[in-house]
Formats: sequence, structure tokens, C-alpha cells
Amino acid sequence: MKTINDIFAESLDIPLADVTDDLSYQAIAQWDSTAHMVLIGAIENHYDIMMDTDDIIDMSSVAKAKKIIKKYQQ
Amino acid sequence: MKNAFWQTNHLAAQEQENTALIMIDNILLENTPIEEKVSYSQLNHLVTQAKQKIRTQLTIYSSKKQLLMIVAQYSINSIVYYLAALQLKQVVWWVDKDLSTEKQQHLCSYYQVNLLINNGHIIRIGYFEHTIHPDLALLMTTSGSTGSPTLVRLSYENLRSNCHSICHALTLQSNDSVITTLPFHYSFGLSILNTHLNQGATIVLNADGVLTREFWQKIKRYNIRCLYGVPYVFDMLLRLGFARLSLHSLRFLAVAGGKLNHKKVTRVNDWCLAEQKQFFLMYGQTEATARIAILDPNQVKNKPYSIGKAILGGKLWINKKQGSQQGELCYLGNNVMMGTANNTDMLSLPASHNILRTGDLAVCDNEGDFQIVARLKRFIKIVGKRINLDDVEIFFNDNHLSAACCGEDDLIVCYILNASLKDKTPKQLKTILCRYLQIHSSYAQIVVLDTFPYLSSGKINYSFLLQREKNELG
Repeated sequence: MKTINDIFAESLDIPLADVTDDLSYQAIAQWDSTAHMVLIGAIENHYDIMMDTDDIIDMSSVAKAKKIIKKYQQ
Repeated sequence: MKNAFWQTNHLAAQEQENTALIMIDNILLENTPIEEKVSYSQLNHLVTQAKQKIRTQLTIYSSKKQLLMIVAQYSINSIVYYLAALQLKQVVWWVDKDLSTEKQQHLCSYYQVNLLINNGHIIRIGYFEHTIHPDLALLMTTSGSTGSPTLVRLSYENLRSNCHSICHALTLQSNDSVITTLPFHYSFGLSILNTHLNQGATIVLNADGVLTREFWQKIKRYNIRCLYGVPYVFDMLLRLGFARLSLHSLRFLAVAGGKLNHKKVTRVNDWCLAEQKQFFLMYGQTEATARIAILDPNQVKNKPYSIGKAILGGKLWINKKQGSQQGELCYLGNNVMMGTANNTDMLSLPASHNILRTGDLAVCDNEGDFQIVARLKRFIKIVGKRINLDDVEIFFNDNHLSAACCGEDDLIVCYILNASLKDKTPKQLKTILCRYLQIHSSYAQIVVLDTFPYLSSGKINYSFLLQREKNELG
């Protein structure tokens, strides 16, 4: 089963070991707006959800992403 | 002759205390954001000071025209030194702030750059005595990410003329505040800066992308009226959902830098019609300073695939092949570049001619609006960034790999000859390629082949290769 960390690693083109909770948007070159769009698409596909405008903008770290995904799964 | 946007003394006299530039830091982190505002009269003052500093550096070594590289930062100082250099009639070359040090140094030594200016800090990096044509004002890179040394040479008249044509088409006025969404080393991004300065408008210097909270806070705080983007920016806006965004203050949206799919054009335009905003579909090339054609916003509903008519002072026509309605789109105007440059010596050349063969295949409808149907030149755009396919092949060759590269917008396919692959895997090559081009891996494909298909002319059959990959991808 794919984890959220796997999705981050694949979408951002980075090693799984680099995916930590405090990794944040624009903190690394790989997590730019293009990768953010890829990431949103991958999360939506995997969890079969459709994220709101605010959640797309708020998803600025791995920790926040986990929180947001949880919200949709409730 | 009308004034030019870099003549800050005229702007200061006209706009006085109106705000020219706003720089803001950390809205989220600070309760009281650090905000720096520069009025038009202050801007003129800052430019005068900057001129003094640059002049000191220049005259010590030579009285001849010199080459200044400015790092394209979203900062007040970058703009101040840009305007100062134009006033001093020195040549400006904006460079991508994210370009690797290695590529930047290569470009500097290749073209014998004299001064490197980064956020107001001047560093003397070369003493070469250039022979530069007096009309030459600006150099622009067309393929930024490959660090290709081919440059577009633009004159003072190119800059002035294109600026006025754009201001006219968009009816820009001093209350048309704008937020930066594109870097200044990119001709579209620079044209936004030039035109809004020319009209005495407020420019909010912003480095945040449209997917950030900070960006939308700035839009709201400064009642932004003009928003520009490449097609990819519109993809993101559509994904965020126009209805949910705070775009109340907006007067218009404008797209350029590639073709936005006509279905998406209609979606954006439907929102604009409902909200009484305008949507400008624009077409241009760095070779024509920036802008070539703009579609009348009232026509977007009927012609979402069109680029409209030539801007004021320009002329568009199609070089038709016999028996065909389509042909290469050609343009004539005062904004057509002096020419390109591949080495330092070419900076001395005068303007070649003012006709530009765009390299795009187009058709024209009976109302005189043009539509691009295909591209003739060997380049593609990925997320709005131009990538020369031949440069990519050279990159592979430099790494001892035989490659044939093809693609379309937002997809590059590189075929590698099996015999040259040695111990490398396609996955490793993809990582190397994407790092080199600074693109996301989802836009690239590496395919290993035993032989390349050739046309009877002896050239690689690129259209066959592209079709092959598109069939693979389904």
C-alpha cells in the first residue's frame, strides 16, 4: 500500500528518506508550483478525493498535507 | 517622439508621489508586514544614485559601451539598476536568478560580461573592451534553462515601440496596479514591468506562486487590477477555481507565452464575462521584444483559438505555400529585434531588417484574425519555458550519448541509441535531463532505441519518433 510519503517522494522527484513532516513548499527546489500541481493530482487520485481551493493553498508542508487528507477521509 | 519608460525624470514629473514599486515581506509571519514603497519621484532619485555608482565602475576602465548582467530578482534595486543602465546606454542582460552558478559563469565568460549586478551590488567580473552597436539596449536569452549562448539583440527603439503598442492595446493607466507573476529575464515578464512603469502604475514585486496563501493576500491587500500568466498559470487558476479566489478588484486577465487550450480559454472567459472582466489572448516572441498580436477581448467568446491582430504599428501576414491556406506567420514592426548573437563580435552588428519569420504555421480568417496551427521551429515549451531540442541533443552528445529529441508543448521525448548507453539506465538519464532543464520528470520521456529512423533526405525522422511515443502514451 502506497503511503503519503511515497506519493510525496514520487511527485517531488526526491528520495523517500528526504520526505519528513516538516518538509515545506518552496523550501526545496524540487517542490515548486509544477510539482505542487502533480502532488495535488496524485493525492486526489490515490485517496479519491477532490480538494478545495483553500486546502490546495494550505497544503504547504508534509504535516499539513496529512492533516488535510485526514479531514477528507472522515 | 514619445518618452520611453526608462526616462524616470519624465515619470517623476508626471506621477510624482504615486507609488511605483511595492516590496513586501512575510505577511503571514509578521503582524505588521515589512513593506517598502517607492514613489515615482523616489524612483527617479534612486536611479540617479545608481547611475552614479555604475558610472564610477565604468569610467575607471573604459569609455566604451559595456555589458552588464543583472540577476533577475524581484527587488526594488534590480529595477532601479536596470533603469539606470538603460539611461546610461550600457547593455543590459537579465539572467535567471535560479540559473546554476556554473551556467551563469559560463555565460559571463562566453560573452565577456563586464559588470554583474545582483540586487544593487556591483561586481566587476571582466575587463574586456567590447565594440557594441550604439542602438543595442538589451540582450535576452531565449532558452534560459539550457544555458544556450544564443541571445536576442534588442534596441532602444524595440523596447520603446513595443511598450507603447502594448499600453495602447490593454489601455493601461496609472491606476492599473499589477503583481509580478513572471521573471524579468523572460521577455513577457519584462514587458509587464516596462508597460506598467510607462503608465505610472503600481507594481507589486512578488516572488510567490499562485498556489500560495501569500500571493492571494497580496492580490487582496493591493487591489490588483491586472493579472498576467503563461498557460500554466491559468491551469493552476482553473484548478483553484476562479469563483473561490479573491479577484474582485481585477480589471483584466491576460495570457501569453504559449497556447492555452481553447476549452480552457472558454472556461476563463466565461468567468470573465460573468464578472465583467476582460480576458486578453496575446501572442508574441522574444524576437519581437515581447508582443506581436492581441485578440480583442470581445472576440474571445467566438474565437477562443485565435491570436487576433497585430499590435499597433505592426503588420502580420502569412507566407502561403501554393494551394494552401496556411503558411508561415510573418511580422513587420519596430519591435522586431536587431538580430541574434552567438558570440561577442556579433554585439557590434547593426539591425538586420524589421521582418520576423515567426516559425509558426498560421491561418487567417475573413475578419483578419490569425490562428496558429503548428510550429515549424525545433523548440517546445515546458511550463512556458522555451527548450531548444537541438540544444538538448548537444547536451547528450557532450555526455557521450547519441540522442534524437522531439516533443510538443509540455512533453519532451529523448531517444537514446542503445549502443551509446553503456552502464547508464534510462531512469538515471531522466534524472540528469530533468535537473539540466530544471523541469519536472512528468514532462520527460527517455526511450532507448537500436537505430534512429531517417528520412530520404538523411535527416532524422522526428515526426515519426514523436508519433511513436504518443501512441505509446495512448
